[in-house]
Amino acid sequence: MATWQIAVILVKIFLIVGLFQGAVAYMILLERKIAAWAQDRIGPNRCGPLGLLQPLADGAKMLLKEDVIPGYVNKPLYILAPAIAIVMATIGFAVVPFGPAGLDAPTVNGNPIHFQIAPNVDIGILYVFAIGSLAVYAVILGGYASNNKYSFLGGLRNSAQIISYEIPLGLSVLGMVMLARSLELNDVMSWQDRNGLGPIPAWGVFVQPLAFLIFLVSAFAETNRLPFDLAEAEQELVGGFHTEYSAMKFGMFFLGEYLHVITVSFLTVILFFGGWDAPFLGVEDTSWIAAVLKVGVIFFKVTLMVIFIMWIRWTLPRFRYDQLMNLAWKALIPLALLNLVVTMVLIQLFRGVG
Amino acid sequence: MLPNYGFIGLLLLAAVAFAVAPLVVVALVAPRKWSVEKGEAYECGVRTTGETWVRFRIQYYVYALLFLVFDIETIFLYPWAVSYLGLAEAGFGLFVLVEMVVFLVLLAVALVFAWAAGDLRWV
Amino acid sequence: MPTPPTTRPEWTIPIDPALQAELEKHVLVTSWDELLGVVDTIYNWGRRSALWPLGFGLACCGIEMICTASSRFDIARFGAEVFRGSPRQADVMIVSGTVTKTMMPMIARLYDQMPEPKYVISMGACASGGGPFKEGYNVVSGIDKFLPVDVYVPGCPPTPQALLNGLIALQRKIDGERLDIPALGRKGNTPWYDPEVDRDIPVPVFGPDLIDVRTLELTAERAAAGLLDAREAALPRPALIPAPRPEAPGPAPDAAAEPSPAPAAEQRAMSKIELIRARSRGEAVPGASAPTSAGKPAARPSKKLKVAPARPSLVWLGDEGLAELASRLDAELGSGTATIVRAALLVPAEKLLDVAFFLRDRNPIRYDYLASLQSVHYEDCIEVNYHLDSTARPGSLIELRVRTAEAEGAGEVPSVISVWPGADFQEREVFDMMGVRFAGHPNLTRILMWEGFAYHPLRKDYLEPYYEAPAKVFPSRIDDGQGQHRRAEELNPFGSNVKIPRSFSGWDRLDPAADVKGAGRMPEGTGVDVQELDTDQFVLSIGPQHPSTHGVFRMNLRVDGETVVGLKPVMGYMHRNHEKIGERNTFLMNFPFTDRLDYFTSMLNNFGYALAVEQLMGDDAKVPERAEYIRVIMAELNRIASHMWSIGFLLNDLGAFFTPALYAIEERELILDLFEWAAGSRMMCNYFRFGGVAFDLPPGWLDRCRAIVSDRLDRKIDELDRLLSENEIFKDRSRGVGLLSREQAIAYSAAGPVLRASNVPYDIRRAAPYSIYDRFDFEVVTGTGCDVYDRYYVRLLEMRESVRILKQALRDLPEGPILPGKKSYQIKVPAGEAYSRVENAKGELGFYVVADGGPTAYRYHVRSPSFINLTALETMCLGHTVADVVGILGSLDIVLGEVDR
Repeated sequence: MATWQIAVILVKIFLIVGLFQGAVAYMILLERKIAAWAQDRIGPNRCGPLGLLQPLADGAKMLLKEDVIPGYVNKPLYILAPAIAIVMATIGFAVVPFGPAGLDAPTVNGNPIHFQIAPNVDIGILYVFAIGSLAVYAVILGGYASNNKYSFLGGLRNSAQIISYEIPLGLSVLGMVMLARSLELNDVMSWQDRNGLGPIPAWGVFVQPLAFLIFLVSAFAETNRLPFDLAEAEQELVGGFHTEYSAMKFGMFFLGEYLHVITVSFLTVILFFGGWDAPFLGVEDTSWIAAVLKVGVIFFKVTLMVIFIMWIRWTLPRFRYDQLMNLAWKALIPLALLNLVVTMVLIQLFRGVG
Repeated sequence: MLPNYGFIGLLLLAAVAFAVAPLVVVALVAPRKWSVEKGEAYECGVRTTGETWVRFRIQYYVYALLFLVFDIETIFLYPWAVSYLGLAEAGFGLFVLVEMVVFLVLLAVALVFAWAAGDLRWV
Repeated sequence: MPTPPTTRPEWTIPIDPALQAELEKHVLVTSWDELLGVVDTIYNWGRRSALWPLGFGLACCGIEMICTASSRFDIARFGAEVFRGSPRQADVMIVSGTVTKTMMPMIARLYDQMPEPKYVISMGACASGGGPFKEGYNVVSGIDKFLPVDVYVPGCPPTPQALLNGLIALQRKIDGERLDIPALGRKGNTPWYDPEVDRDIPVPVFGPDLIDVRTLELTAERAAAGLLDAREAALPRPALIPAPRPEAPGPAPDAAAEPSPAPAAEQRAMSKIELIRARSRGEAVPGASAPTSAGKPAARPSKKLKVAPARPSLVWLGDEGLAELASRLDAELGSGTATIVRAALLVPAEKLLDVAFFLRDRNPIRYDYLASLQSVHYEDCIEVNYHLDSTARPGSLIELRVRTAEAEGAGEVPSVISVWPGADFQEREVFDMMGVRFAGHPNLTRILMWEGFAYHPLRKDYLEPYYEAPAKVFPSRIDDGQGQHRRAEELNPFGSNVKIPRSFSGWDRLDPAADVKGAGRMPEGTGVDVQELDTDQFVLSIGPQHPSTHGVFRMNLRVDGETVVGLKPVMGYMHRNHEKIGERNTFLMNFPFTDRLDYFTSMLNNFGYALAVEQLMGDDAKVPERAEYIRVIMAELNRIASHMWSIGFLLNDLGAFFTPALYAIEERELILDLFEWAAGSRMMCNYFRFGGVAFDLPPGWLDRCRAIVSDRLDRKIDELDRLLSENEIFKDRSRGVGLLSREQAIAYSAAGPVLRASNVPYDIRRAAPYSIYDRFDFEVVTGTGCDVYDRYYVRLLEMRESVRILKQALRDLPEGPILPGKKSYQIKVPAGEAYSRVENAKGELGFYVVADGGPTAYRYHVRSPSFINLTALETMCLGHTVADVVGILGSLDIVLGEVDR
């Protein structure tokens, strides 16, 4: 590998990680603004114009706040948990294309520049799910190590929730995988872009509508967002798993949660909304202008998705535990299996030979 | 192939740096005051009663077993799904389809069994 | 502290001084100190802009604090809407409301658990200095007795704007902070960086009273010296009156048979103020007053006294019915079972249970509903009395009396829990407050105070630490230019609101870590059998500081996994001695205190209290038509406001992050505007007077009110209905949860929407009509689901009915006077007793008043619906999950000001 490749990779890593961490800070502001919008309020507006400096103030305060480690915690695990939250949320991005990658990537001197940190990792989707499951350790360990009953309940709730929703999440994307014949996210994306039926693009949401719903619900559950935020459940468990965390460690959990929201939004957009596909963009166009536009399109779609996720949070009440589990096991998993079989049969009917 | 995983390794290093940096900053600049009550577990303002780390009723051990079954099934399905369309176009579709349907039906039976046995009831 | 000298480079060229000043200010770093000043600015800016409050509201002020987050005020603008439940993540503690002794250790612990740097805003008169409740025996005279306060916000309660102002003041204070950097020799005011400074607040201890461990030795010394006994010996004590006796047959109710006294009878010859002034100057007071009465109860005059006609309540069984019932009881259960005493049945204690069972099961009118249970301390006995009603024939109220020896510990009355389970908490309250023991009560422990508290505070011989005189105005509050005004703290030998008996010796056994209040209420793990797996259960305390206990309520849960197998409510954290203070207040003076019972429904509380005293006053307080209509309008507006809040926060408890709640608060704000316009205050209206209301409606008020009622409320109720009623998640979470069957609801004396959601059409407005409710056309809404959903839905439909009543009342409102006579500050209340019942938003609100002809109530008791509804909580919650418990509590719609009074 050439040195310049490594340099490009490093640039990409710091751009993306830095960008997303900054984005997360502003997502929290966005969330507060959306809450204000949903509740007929104004929202933060005293820090800078439109409150745009609010995230900086929050960050500064968190850094300057005493970091309490209560006396009876399991100290190594207690410190490890928020770090896991951040690390897992960050490395999940490795295979997520944030612009044209793979065959569609633009080139410099004939060398493709992929808009993806680790291109050509052929287990793409599997990798994202694997890392996503590891993130549950942050919650479980944090909840357990705090030696606090609320945290303990929150952590345990989360573990059951995550394992249950992982299955429908995994099953729901299989249909798209079958069609795209690849686990790589950019392949799934470009399959959608290339197989439109006239003006209607072959976006996953049209090709696999049921799978989309299952995926969306499971994704909410995987990111611990309302109506599935049982691990935090402010009205029941005060703060749930992070009750005992203060200052920056608490902030890191939040950073982790919002990074997950970004990842999930990317996945949804890539798997079901055609990624960077837009009517005015030629799929085959690998010029730099097209590439930049494509990056813009995908970020636009992701932003809409993020806003949607936030909107839901300020709209719905929360499920109860048994209802949450019932939804996963008695509704989503059978539906996902059904969807899978139907997809297989349809593929056989339309594309099968013999 | 390998360099791609190397990129993930680089990202991991960066992520760890991002995780450790704030902790270090906090350790350097934040105040630190200790008191007995501050070290106590928070429980709405009262001292906590009894042990927290008890033999908790993990009500979902059946779920955990089922999860293992289904998760591994999902993993099996992935490579199959990747190659299914190709096989179908090559004319092996029906065979592969029936094979997989049998596999799924077996699993569905497991789910139905667990359901009927009341193991999917959250107690 | 000395600021370090700033070294400044010399200017070599002459320059305009103004320019030089500007340059130094903005451009040039002229010293290390100023460079650090930039750091200061950034440091302060970060913290001032992200002040996250600890989410806990104590009392009325807490409600205004929540309103501060609502759309009209929006604390989010300052970046401070992030109310954190856990102290670990909070920056500022807003102490919003009365700090009670029962709550103080928890507040101190929460403060200690907050990370540095941390701030305290003392919100409201109570938090700042005890406020109106300062004289209460369970009230801390200001949070600053324990915590370092940064900003005081005045008001009772402060409006949301005032809290915002307090927040801005705190931001200014933070702006002025300088970093303390010892390494650079820089002195500042950031003590959290100074390793020498101890910022820890020692948690006070529950002993015979709340004991500040920092002054433990001094307190012990003074208690042993008996200074308090000496002080109390010199004070006039409240007079005791004998219990009413059976009427002599023959002459009709006569004052002679009614040896009712007036402790201040002669004192009334002198004007009250003059009297107090004289006393405060140490002069002899004419008559048998201060000097002679010191140390022993004032002598009672034999002067004839006006006596109110005897009837337990406005709507009741009636004299003939009662006589018939008494003879039936005598016939069935042996003669001497029931004697009629002032329109109530006096029953010997040993026959109480027989009578109770007879009344409930065999009497033609089945008395299945225990409306209220309270006690009165008379000279010769303590009387426990029971108000009973029948859900089948509402309005046939009767009163039972049982008497027990006065001496402490000797008094015992059989518990009626086996007949009316709703007596549970009320009997515990009587035990706590009066020391009457109830034989057969399964868990007779203190309910409002803590185990180990040295006294039974509602006994007439208990004087509070700040006690000065039997009735207000207290002499220390009078300053006629003599410079004699004295703070209550100066009068008490302990220098604070503390009273410790001389005999107390357990100083070495005090333990700050002990959970004194909760220890006796740990649930047993037997309630529900979950399954065979051998696991451990644990005990979890939800509250007193918890985002969804609606104040400082506490539940001790025993959970197996997530299933609740045991639950015990613990209360008293907001016990601010309403009843004891009410016995010191003159009748009129007590109105603003009733506002603060259920601080959502001040109009309805006023209503109940006014009715009770008006019942005694009879024709002296005949309410004019216009005033009756205004009363109903205010009451129904208030009911809508309260139900709005309750629905919003039920959804909040079920996890909907404040959105429905804030929608509901918007409508509530409009109603509060109307109140403010008419009464002068948004929340604490103090609007009713005996015989009418305080002010007539201001010009323009009616138009605005009509506009809101007819154009807006209907629409908004529909909107809430559409938003919530068919929400799948909400339905899943609330249907079939918290079941309380019809029979249980009656047995537990549940009231209001809780009772009606269990399909009992029992609404005081119809069951025992008061005021002019019999003129209006409205439905008594009932539900058949008996669950959380139906409690929600009944409230929603009740709002519609309230709008209906409002429309009729606004249509028919006549012109005319609003008071029967002139405004009067001297209320003369005839001796007697009265129990008034109104349908508060939470249920039946009752005021039980015993008057002795003096300026204050002899006994004043509040039958609070929130408190009694909680009796059923345990039954409703067992077997559900932790999440459901929160929702069930939300569906009861409790208000801690009323639960703990």
